[in-house]
Amino acid sequence: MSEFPEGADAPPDITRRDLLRLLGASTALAGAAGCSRGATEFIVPYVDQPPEVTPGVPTLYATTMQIGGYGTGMVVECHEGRPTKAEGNPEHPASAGALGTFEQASILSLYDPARARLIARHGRPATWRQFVRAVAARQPKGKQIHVVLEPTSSPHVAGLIERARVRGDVVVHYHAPLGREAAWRGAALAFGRVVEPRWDFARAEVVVSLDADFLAAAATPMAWARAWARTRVLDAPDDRIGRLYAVEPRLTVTGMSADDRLAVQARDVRAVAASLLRELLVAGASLPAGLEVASGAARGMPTTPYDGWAKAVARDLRARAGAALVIAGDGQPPAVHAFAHAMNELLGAVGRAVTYGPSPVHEAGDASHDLAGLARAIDAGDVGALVVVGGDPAYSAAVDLDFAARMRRVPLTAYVGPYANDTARIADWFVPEAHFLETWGDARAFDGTPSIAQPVIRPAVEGYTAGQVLAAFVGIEDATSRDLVRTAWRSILSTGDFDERWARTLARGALEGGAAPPVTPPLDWDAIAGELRAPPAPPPTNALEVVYFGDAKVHDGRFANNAWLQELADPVTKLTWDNAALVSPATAARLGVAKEDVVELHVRGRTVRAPVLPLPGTADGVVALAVGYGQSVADMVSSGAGADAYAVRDSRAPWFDDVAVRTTPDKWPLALTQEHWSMEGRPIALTRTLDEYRSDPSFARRLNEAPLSLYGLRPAGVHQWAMTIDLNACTGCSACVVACMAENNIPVVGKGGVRLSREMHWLRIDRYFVEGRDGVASAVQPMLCQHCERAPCEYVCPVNATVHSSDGLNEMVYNRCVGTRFCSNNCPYKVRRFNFFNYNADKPDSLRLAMNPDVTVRARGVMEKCTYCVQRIRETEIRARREERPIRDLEIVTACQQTCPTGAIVFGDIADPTTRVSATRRNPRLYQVLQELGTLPRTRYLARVTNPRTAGRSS
Amino acid sequence: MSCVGWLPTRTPGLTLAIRAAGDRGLTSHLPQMRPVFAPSSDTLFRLCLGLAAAAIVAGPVALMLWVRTPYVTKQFNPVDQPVAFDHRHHVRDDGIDCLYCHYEATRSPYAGAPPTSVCMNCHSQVWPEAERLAPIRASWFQDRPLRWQRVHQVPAFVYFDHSAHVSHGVGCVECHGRVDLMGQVYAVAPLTMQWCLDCHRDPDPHLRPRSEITNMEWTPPRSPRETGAEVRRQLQVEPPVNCTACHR
Repeated sequence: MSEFPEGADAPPDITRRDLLRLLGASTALAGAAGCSRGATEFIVPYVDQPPEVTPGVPTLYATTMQIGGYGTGMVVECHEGRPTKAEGNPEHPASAGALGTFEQASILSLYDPARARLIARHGRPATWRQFVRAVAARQPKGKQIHVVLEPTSSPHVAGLIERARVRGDVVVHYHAPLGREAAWRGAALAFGRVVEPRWDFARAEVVVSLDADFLAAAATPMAWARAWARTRVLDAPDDRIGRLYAVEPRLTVTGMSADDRLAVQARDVRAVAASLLRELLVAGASLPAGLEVASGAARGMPTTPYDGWAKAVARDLRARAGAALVIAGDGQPPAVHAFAHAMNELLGAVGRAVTYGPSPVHEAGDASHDLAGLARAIDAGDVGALVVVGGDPAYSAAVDLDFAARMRRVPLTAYVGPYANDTARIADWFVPEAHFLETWGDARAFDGTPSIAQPVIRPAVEGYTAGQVLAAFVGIEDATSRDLVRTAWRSILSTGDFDERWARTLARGALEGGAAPPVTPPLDWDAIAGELRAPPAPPPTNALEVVYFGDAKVHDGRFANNAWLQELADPVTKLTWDNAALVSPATAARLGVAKEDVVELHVRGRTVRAPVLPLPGTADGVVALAVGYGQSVADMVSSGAGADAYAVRDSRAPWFDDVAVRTTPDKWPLALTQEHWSMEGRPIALTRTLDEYRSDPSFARRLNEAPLSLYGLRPAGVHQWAMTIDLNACTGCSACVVACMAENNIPVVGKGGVRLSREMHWLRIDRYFVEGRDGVASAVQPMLCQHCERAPCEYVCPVNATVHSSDGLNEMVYNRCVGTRFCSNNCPYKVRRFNFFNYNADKPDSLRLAMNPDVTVRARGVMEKCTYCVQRIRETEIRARREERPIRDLEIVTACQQTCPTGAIVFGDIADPTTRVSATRRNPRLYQVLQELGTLPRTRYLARVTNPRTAGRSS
Repeated sequence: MSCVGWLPTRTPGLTLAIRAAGDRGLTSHLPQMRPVFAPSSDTLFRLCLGLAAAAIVAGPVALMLWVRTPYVTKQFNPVDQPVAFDHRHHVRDDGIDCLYCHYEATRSPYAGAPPTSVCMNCHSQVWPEAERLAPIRASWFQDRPLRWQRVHQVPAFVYFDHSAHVSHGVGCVECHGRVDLMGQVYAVAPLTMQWCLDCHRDPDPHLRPRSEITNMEWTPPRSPRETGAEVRRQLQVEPPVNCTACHR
């Protein structure tokens, strides 16, 4: 864990002679470069310009992305017909104006040159009609078509599924490696039916998360983080803030934000939940009638090591009854979900911090969400044709199902998907799947609100949707996706003028007032009592446990070929281009392994090899391994990245399982963006507890003083741009990092580049570990150009390529930069990035379509860094001037600020005391990072204030 | 020998030392031969050195002048276009305003070339069979865009915004010259950064009322500076000179 990357002090791999030769040649050629007159450019106007398009001005479209059956609305920015950036849609209940990493990076997947392009039968080009006929003419006659879909909430697909069911010759199954079956079954256990909890974190002063990573920006409604952040607003020392308890086996984004965190093995979360429920049942002063059985069962429970913790937390929860909420994560068994429902009932959360509604996912909780049924049908020989639409079950299905071998036994198989992956290689037929940004579709949000997905680009690939495939099987062979969606929506928009309402819903991005009405199902206390009485068998002590989880970057593997996500540093581990077996430092010591050591994980007789990464915060005895890596598809950016957790994941224990770890002498190099975990006692990411803050509210004052300086300040312009980042709200979810990459054309350097610390991210999120009260606490801090008023980089640039503007920006002038890197060397915040290679010029053509035309594409040898999204500042300035009005507060929104789900980033004009950013400058928590250097950064931070239990009452 | 050439040979000590070496007979055993370099070669050599020094200075200066020549800035160079479009006819004879075709100039960074449909507004009726309009009709009926050669070309790292200029009293003629008198359009402005900054630092002589933006023949009622100063106050023109005003 050294401060500098490996080999930083070693001589470069180049001889002196070669160096001189290159030096001479580049000097000679540098002069020649100035002699060109520039190639002739062409202006290519439209033949008939669409009325909504103004060349040079982006057009915005609302559309919807669906992951795991849950829709998220987004607004896509298109430049002359090519989407370049996806942002949140404030009108959509799941987005609430922010957007997670997957949804943002989906733009890059659209342009992925590795996407499949041709319909093929055994590798030979074929047509859609031939495909449909072949499935219809399947042998033996009369056998059913089995279709494997991804879970869907799409109204038009749901309608087609029902139609197929009526016909009787099509059977639909669903496959999602990170599905929510446990949550659905838990609801069914507690309520007798599948309902979807709708959490309102803004109304919960205390939240207990039982292994639920609800603050992550990975396939999670951003509305949750947005609501939670409203309980963390702390302007004056006397303000109340919420408290977050996290019980989890591995450190998550939620765990990093927790005020009180309990690291336990995943299988022990159930014991913690049961213990907590018992405390609420037994110690409650007056219980409603009908709970005698349950409280009796609770009394009979054996003691657990977590009873002390549970007692204290239960006291805290009861004190905040009505404003307390307990949630359970997808990786926990149904009983934990049922316990959470029961606790919310006892705490009076129902109707306040949680309401229930029907699940938007079609057939949620049904047996069709389990591939075991399909496996039985294949074994019985009932499957005439197997059509897999989306996903990659041959790779990601539970290993004991042996999906690939079973699929080979079906007489006719087809795969409709984006890539030529494992499933595609087995299938007889391959049909490219349309990307959601180039076709019509629809989806429902977690609360049931339906929204439409519309194409934002003319498709480059003849792709088909799940709806079109199903339609073909029910006899609608050549339906366009638009026709299918519009037909289904005629029943959703049944009142009023359809076309008018359709257009309005399309433009808005979600049906107004479209949430499904909430239901209040009665809790089945007898079932809860039954679960309380049947504690799981105590696991053998010291047994190691493997925990599988959805990756923050590739999810279930579907984004493995997305370079933005592969290079994104994991919010918690800071690992890029790989997954790793995460263990606590104590467990690593026990096993005798260190970082980058390869270990063999033996699970139920199967083995996977993975590199070790010791990570503080991981529960002892846990080996956490993200799924989605280790795909065997050739010629992709993902080739060779990570270890395949699916190779050992068993359907009987899909989330955690016993594991034996065997060490090997091998090494697996990992590319981490942050090797150094300590702040070395310096006030960098400042944290105080609420009690400490209240007893000394001016603790940060010293960190705002301007030391004496020989340098004067420059004359000020009308506006003075500045940014404040509230560390109390920042969760480290990394959505902003992807937003920055998309907005500012930031190149990807690959694993080798990251290992040499050459990653190009203008905005990174530093993660620190500090000794906390109970073990390890973590702190996160977004770090970007601080736009110092006395900028050290500016003093050392020999060619004036980095200078200060009159409105307070530290400007980087690419066309002046000669690449001395003095500025980067002199930057105390280490936020300057150097183009060691011509990363952008070497891109495939299709990826260039994703470039933002408003930002210069930097060439080799040029330094770059955060500009405060100066293109957005200037564009807004020009627009305001054109409309002869002043710039409104919060009118300029930087890319990171736009997508921050918790609103931690505020940008604006500090020359105007009425702006929001000026208000943050008066917050007592305000401080400058490395204030003692006298750089006067324009980016300032609000110190984080945690609210741990021992800090007393936060009232 | 050559080393004596560039050393200051008038340094008495060195010359003497060399002579002394000869006198001591170190070279006396060699046959007498004519010196390889005539005495004038010293002068020639010094001249070459002087020229080389001058070239080091003159080279960059020449390059700097070179990039400012109309050849490199592509000024005054009529450009062949796919359609023999004549601005003289359309602007002067027909009285069509600049913004009829370049209508995006007021609301977009790009003034843009008009879509084919704008040409067809008139030419579906006027001269519908003219030979020189064949490329327009081909574009329209085959749905293939025209490819116009760009006349005013700035580097890719320059973000120029037409709407910002047009709305702040910079007339078309200010940068594009008398397009109404051009058969084939050519650039009159060098589009160098110096040229941009000259105006951004002292905009007054270049400003005009908004009503006269597209007027090619407008002359200021008073001196250009006085009229422009009045416009600058009215429209609150404050041209930015920050790097990021144009380089983003």
